[in-house]
Amino acid sequence: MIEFINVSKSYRFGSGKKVVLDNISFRFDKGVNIGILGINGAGKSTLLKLIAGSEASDKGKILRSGAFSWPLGFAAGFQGSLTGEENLRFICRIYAANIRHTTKSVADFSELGKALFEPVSTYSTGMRARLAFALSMAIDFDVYLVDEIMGVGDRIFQKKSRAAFVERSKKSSIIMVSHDMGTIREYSDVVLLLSDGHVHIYDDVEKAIATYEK
Amino acid sequence: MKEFRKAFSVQRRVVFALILRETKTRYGKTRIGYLWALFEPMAQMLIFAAIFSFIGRSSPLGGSVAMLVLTGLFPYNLFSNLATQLMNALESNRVLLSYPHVTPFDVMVGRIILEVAAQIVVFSFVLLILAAQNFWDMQVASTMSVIMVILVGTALGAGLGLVNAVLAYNFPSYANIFGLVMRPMYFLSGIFFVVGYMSTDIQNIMYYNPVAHLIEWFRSAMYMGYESTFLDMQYLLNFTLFIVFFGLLLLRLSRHQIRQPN
Repeated sequence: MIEFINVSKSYRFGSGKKVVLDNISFRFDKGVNIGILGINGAGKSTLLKLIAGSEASDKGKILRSGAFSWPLGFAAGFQGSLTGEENLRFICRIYAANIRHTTKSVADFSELGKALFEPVSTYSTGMRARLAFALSMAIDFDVYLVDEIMGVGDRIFQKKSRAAFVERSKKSSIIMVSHDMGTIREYSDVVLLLSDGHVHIYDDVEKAIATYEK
Repeated sequence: MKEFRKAFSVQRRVVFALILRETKTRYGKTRIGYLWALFEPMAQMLIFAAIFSFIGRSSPLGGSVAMLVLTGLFPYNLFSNLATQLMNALESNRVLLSYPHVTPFDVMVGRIILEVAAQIVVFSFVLLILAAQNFWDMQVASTMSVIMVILVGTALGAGLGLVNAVLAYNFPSYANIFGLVMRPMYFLSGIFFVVGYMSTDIQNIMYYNPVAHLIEWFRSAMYMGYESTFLDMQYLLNFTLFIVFFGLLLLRLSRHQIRQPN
């Protein structure tokens, strides 16, 4: 469950101020998959961070129940000087996941091979994303927060991650930001359209996409 | 209550994970990294002790010069390492703050625990070495006071460290200024001499330095029969309480801003 009660959020940059959310309230129950749409700079990623709790709102209250993932995106929070495996240990520890099982499943899924034991700073963007994706799939979350991470790696890896994701979405729900309408169609039950600090909620995904594309 | 317990267990997990990670990034780069981490500050203490013994200084408190230097260096290092380590804590843990579970406060707590533990281990080793070489008679005037000094020194260093962390985060040049201010502190804290035996003029100036009081307190705790006339415990405790409160307040006020990418 996620609930926003009169939430406002703005950023200050230079002399200006950018309002991302202007007194927003909504509530979604467990198991609802949400797609977030909005033009570049509308604050989709910020909204996701607010949902995750990695950023705080200026005003209002955000209530959540269940285990939420961190926002899964390309810029994963890995310490470059540590190896992939050491980063994995850290994340397992903070989320109370079994280190041995997670390592095994990440090693199998990410196909990083020996690179898993090399410093993350030597990874390519694709390798980092693969590690992040494999890691998030290995830990049990009730809600996955996804920031444009689908479509990582080569075609075979994409196919595999899609399959894993579909499997996951049977048990867990997904809140995702994407520019790809196909992905939004595939995973979302409702769409949250973000523009000028306001949100519009559409139960009809097609209608939301049509509005967004206009 | 259940919520509170859960939050507490998350925090405990996070702090533990941070400590292990810090240990790894700071010391674990090479196989002998952990040893080096102990060896380096130990060497610093022993070298100072050796130099002062060699140039034939004698300790005004009796016993060895090595012991005089050690009883000055330990409280000073505890304080100054905490103040600088916390100052850099936010910057070096920035990526980790993107995880919702990890708060700036957790990062601070992790560093404090690690730093204090390291300082105590190093101090104990050096004490052992001094005892083995007959530079220390293995007597402590008041174990209770030693523990108190460690607690107050930790609070003082951590409090200043919190203030430093927030200021350095907002003003990148702050770290350089702090470094400059700290340099004379090394000589104005009474590490290599006993403040209590200095002239009143010097004592009057050094009175405002809380670390000088901390060191005097530590020496009173370690040396049998040394009662410091300089030590003003009230001043030290007030100063410490104030800086801890101020540091926590600054961190609290800027905790959201710290998490935002800029």
